[in-house]
Parts: sequence; C-alpha cells; structure tokens
Amino acid sequence: MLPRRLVTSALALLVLLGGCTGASEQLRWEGAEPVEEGGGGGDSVSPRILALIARGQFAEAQVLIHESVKGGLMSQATATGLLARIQLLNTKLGEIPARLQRVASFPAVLKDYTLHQILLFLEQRDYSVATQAQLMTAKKLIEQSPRLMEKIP
Amino acid sequence: MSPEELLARLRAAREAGGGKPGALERLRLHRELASAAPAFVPNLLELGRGLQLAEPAAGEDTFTEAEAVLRQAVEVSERSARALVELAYFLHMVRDAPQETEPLLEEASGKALRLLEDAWTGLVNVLVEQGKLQRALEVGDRARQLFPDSVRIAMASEAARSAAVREGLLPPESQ
Repeated sequence: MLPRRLVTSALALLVLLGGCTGASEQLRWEGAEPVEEGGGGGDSVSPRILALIARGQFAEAQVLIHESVKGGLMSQATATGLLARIQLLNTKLGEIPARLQRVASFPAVLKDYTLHQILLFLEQRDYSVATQAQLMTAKKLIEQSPRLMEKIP
Repeated sequence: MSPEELLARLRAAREAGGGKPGALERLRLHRELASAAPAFVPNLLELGRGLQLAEPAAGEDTFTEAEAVLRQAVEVSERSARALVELAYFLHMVRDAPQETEPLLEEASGKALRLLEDAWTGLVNVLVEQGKLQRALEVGDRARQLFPDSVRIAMASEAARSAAVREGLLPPESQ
C-alpha cells in the first residue's frame, strides 16, 4: 500500500513540478508528502489531489479542490494555483499565442497535443511522435507563455 | 519628459488596444515611448513582452526587436534583477538558449536575495519601532530561515524578540 502511494505521489510531483510559471501558483510542496489517504491537513496540497492530476483525472481533482476549500482544508490561493495548473495541463501546443508558434524551434508536430500528453511522453520516454528536444520545447512554450500575459511585478 | 508625462504615456500605452499585450495600437505607443525615453525601463519591459505576443501586422520579426529592447533594459537598468529575468525568460523560451539563460538567472537571483535581505531587515526594524511586534517576529523568523548567516537579519530579529519579551508577548527564556 505504502509503496504504491509513494509512487503515485512521486508521479504527481513530477507532473506538477514540471513548471511553476505564474506567481499565482503558490503551491506548498511540503504538503505533498504522503501523509494519509485523502488527507492533507491544514493548508496543504493533498497527495490524492496531486495523484488525480498526475493521472489526468482533472474533473475529479477539481471537485476535490472545491470541497477542500469549502471544508477549510485548503487555502484559496493554493486552490487557484492548482486550478490554473489543471487549465495549463489541458492546453494544446496549438493554442498558445500565434506569434509564439513562430519561434525557430517550434515543434509543429505536437500542435494537437496537450501539456498533459506531452509530459506523459517525456515521463515514459516515448519519442514516437516527437523527439525529446521537441517535447521539452513544447512543454516550455505552454508553461511559460502565460507569464507574458501577466502584469509585470 | 517629466516623470508625470512618462507615467501618463506608459498608462495610456497599457490601456490601448483593449489592454491586449500584443495589440498593434498598444505596441505602437510603447514603441514611441521607447524611442522618446530609451532609459525608461518599465516601458521597455512591457514592450519586450508585447513583442513576443505581437499581432501579425506588428512586423515579420518582432523577436529580434524584443531581444534588442530587453538587452537595452538590462543595460540601462544597470542589470537590475527584473530586467535580467525578462531577458532570461525570452532567451530560454524564444531563443532556446539555456546556457545563456542560466547565468542571467543566477545573477538575478543573487540580486533579488540581497534586495530581500535589505527589505526584510528594514521591515523588522520599522515594525519594532512602531510596536507591531507580532508581525516583526513573523518576518524576523522567516528572514532567519532564509538568511541564517546574515548578521543584519539576526540583529533585527533579536531586537524584535527582546521587545516582545519586554512586552510580555514571549516568555523570557525564548530570547
């Protein structure tokens, strides 16, 4: 039981740590320790939510996030950060601003793939659709483009 | 140009084109301001971002212009952390140049940390001076975690603790 949870938590961290772009993503990683199933006391990110996000079960994760905020288990700032991350994971490479699709190294072959799919390719070392370098460029473009729309601090 | 005029023109540029960063009208105003005031860094940084999101009509190669603008911002700000970070993200994302990006982010982090140490030391002192001891203790504890070797932070934080003990907020042994 414990090893499985450790694995899912590590997986969740991998996918989530993939990139913290905007300043709005104030996540508290110490809360990602596998403490108790479905737990996450106080203001921390529950490992179950992280695991759901890592597996691409976004709808379930969203429900749990909303419930955690309602139940006082999670701060609004953490919830906002997680929801923004889910939105980013659902973003396809072809949905980033048109100008950024003109960067020299743009991997057009990945246009119809979401960040979530791209991260899975990388994690599974599956280079059947695109090379590792192309996958990493796609990941970078999706993760970093939102900061250009934000106000400069 | 007076400071008021600079700021008024920056605000006008920000609001142009419905506030969309890559909008043509917005870019036009930021570009005009940049040529009238080439050392006004806030405008250069906004122009740099806008050019990375520019509408097609803004020009064929706005990335070259963005790079020049951001390098200018680094230079005229005397390598401020903010300008370094903007140039670094550009080089990483658009130019795919991690080797050039890394030292810029190292430099920016170092500068930002020194600024934070300076700001936190001053903040703890000014909080103690005003008797806002609870907040002074919070900031002091946080600052000590991040800057365990900083004498300035240690002294300011100790002053906050002494004041808190005198006021009965902390037991004497906690000093």
